[in-house]
Amino acid sequence: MKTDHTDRKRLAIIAIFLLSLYVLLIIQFYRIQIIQGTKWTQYALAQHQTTLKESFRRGSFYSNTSIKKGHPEEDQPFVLDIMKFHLFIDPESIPKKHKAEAAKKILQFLAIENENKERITKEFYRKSRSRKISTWLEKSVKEQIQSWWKDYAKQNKIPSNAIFFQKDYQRSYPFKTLLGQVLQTVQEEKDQTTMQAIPIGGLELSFNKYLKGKSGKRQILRSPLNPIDSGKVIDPPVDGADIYLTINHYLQAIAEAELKKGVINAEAKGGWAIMLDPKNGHILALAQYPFFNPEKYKDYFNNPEMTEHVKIKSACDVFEPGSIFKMITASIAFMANEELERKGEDPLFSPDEKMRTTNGFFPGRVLPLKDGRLHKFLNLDMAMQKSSNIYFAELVKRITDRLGDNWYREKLLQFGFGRKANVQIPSESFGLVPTPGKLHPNGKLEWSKPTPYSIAIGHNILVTSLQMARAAAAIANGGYLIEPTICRKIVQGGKVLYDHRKNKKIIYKIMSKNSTDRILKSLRCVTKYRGTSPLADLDGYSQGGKSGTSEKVINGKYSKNQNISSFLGFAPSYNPRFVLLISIDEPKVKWIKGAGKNTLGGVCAAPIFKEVAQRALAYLGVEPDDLANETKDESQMLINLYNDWNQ
Amino acid sequence: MNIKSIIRMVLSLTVCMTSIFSYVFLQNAVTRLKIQIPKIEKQLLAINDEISHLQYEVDQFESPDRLMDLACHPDFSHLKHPYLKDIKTVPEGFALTLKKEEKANTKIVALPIGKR
Repeated sequence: MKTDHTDRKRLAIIAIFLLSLYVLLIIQFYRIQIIQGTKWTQYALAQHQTTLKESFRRGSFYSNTSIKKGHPEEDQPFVLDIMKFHLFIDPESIPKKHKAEAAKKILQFLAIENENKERITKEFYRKSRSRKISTWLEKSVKEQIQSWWKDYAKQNKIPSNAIFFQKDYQRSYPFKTLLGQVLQTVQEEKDQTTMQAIPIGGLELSFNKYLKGKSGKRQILRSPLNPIDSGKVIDPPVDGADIYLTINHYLQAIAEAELKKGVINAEAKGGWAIMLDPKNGHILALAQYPFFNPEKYKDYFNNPEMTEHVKIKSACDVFEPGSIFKMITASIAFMANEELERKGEDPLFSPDEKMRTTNGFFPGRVLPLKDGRLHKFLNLDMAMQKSSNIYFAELVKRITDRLGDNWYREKLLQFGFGRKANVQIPSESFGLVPTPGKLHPNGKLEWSKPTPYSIAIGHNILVTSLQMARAAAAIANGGYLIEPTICRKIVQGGKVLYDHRKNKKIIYKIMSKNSTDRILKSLRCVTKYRGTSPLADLDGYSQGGKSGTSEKVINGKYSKNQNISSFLGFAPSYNPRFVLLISIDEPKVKWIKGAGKNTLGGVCAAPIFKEVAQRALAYLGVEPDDLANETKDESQMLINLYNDWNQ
Repeated sequence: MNIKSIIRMVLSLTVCMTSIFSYVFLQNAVTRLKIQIPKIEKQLLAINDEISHLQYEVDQFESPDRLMDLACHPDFSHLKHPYLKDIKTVPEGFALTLKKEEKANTKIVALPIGKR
């Protein structure tokens, strides 16, 4: 009996002990599963899963297809991100006996140069789990390698993930060099932490904050059998915003093609062109030659001679405009007339006034001003047609005598000279309007006594082509100083982030319509017979403009043989559709039979204006407005009057 | 329990089981679709990438330079850019409401090469 009792007691103790153990186990389960559940889940996931970055598409730049009225407005990209692939290997997973064969086969697919073959083969022997073998492969090449590797890895029992691909978006240019300098590009290697592309300049840099996207996250199971592109996207990538430019791809192509032809004909160092809509400030084309190829950007930065062709010269380079500035001088003279009229005084001048132009001596000048040939008397139309230096210097003399130097300088500033036009182009220059009392770095006064007469003919003032085109647009549109822009709108995922039409703008009315109409009339004479630029005369259309030639400053001195020759004009002249400035850098000094000196703006730049304008007007569907060549009659009357005055 | 009650019970159970089964089948179908979503999403992305790539190749082929060269070709030299006054724009849905007579009087202008 006693034994039974003891046994029962022992059994009870064992049962209680086992039960306690079981309870402890349950408690431990509870602790692990419930209390520490999150922690252990994270450990488990970290061991079995990994998170990869999902690449995004950088925003694109689109052409202005809305410019063609009555045509469907379709998205036409200048640049876009195209999916490409980077090839990686896991050398540790490839057995030594297969390395040489695998390397040889891959090199065959990649079709690369000999010098790189050795480098790639070496990568197979490195002690690493991930080596990048090749970048930016096409999908077809990727598929070829994958299909070969699948069988090869299976046959030789190599983990299939020993070769893998990473997808990425490459900046691609369907029109190659078109708009190259303006767009520029991004560096080949992206920022490895953020996966963001690194812009090298141009619009890629100035719009970078909009173009940037956001990487997504993808979770995959860790396994040598699991392809790297499998798994689940847990955080989708956000693509960058798209920029809709004011530049039209077709007008840009016309400007670039004709500019290239013109620069080659003039045997010049280069050239640039800017086409601006005078009504809304839209930059329609911004061409430059030699071109910049974004796909070969490294070549430009490795060669100092080519680096010069990367920047946008229309906005970043300043030059003395020369005679194209005379249209601004005429405008300021009309502004002076308006000012004096407000004061109740006699006008400064009349455009039809017979002005004596034989005396080139102006206060403060050591040497007299000269014209191409001596003219006894000129009015505004004749002076513009013959590009008289003395006439325009005389106009400025009257302005400064009656209204003062400061009033004259203030009007120059009102045209937008000496300050940025604030187009979204990086490194835009201010230009230089001399300041009375301020010293140059060489110790001389910026504004001395003869300075106004030099400025009158486009010397002693530094401008960008963009500023010059903007000022001319004010003459073309009836006196409004517009704000040029290159961006129409910015759109991200269907949401409009910026719309230029809705953006608040300040537009200054700086001249009356009567004054601008009169200046346009005088500019129409320039391209006619006996003018300085008959080579810019369009077939069937009216046009106005002014040629100019300025000497470049080389080592602090004006160079006689290195010029910037320009033509600034608009068409049709009665209702200008665009303002177009063509500048040719260092045309060769030579004589062109029947035309004149090649270095003159009217000889080397005017024909380019004609070709670009003629084709652009046809593209825009503008009807010819001068089929009967009525402006020729206007010009003939002027010739008769000139002959009467200058017999 | 009489036979009537048994029949009622069997019928109720059948209806109930059928409903439950159809619900389960429906759930399975939904699950099958849900499983396909990531795969289809991936295919869609691949198709979009392919479209971008093809668009890029088409743009290369139809670059303005090339179109301008083609325009100079004798085969296409008869094509001109239309003047703005010659372009008639038809508001959306307007063409459908045109009467026979109006349709006959409406001139449709073909877009020249390069205008898309």
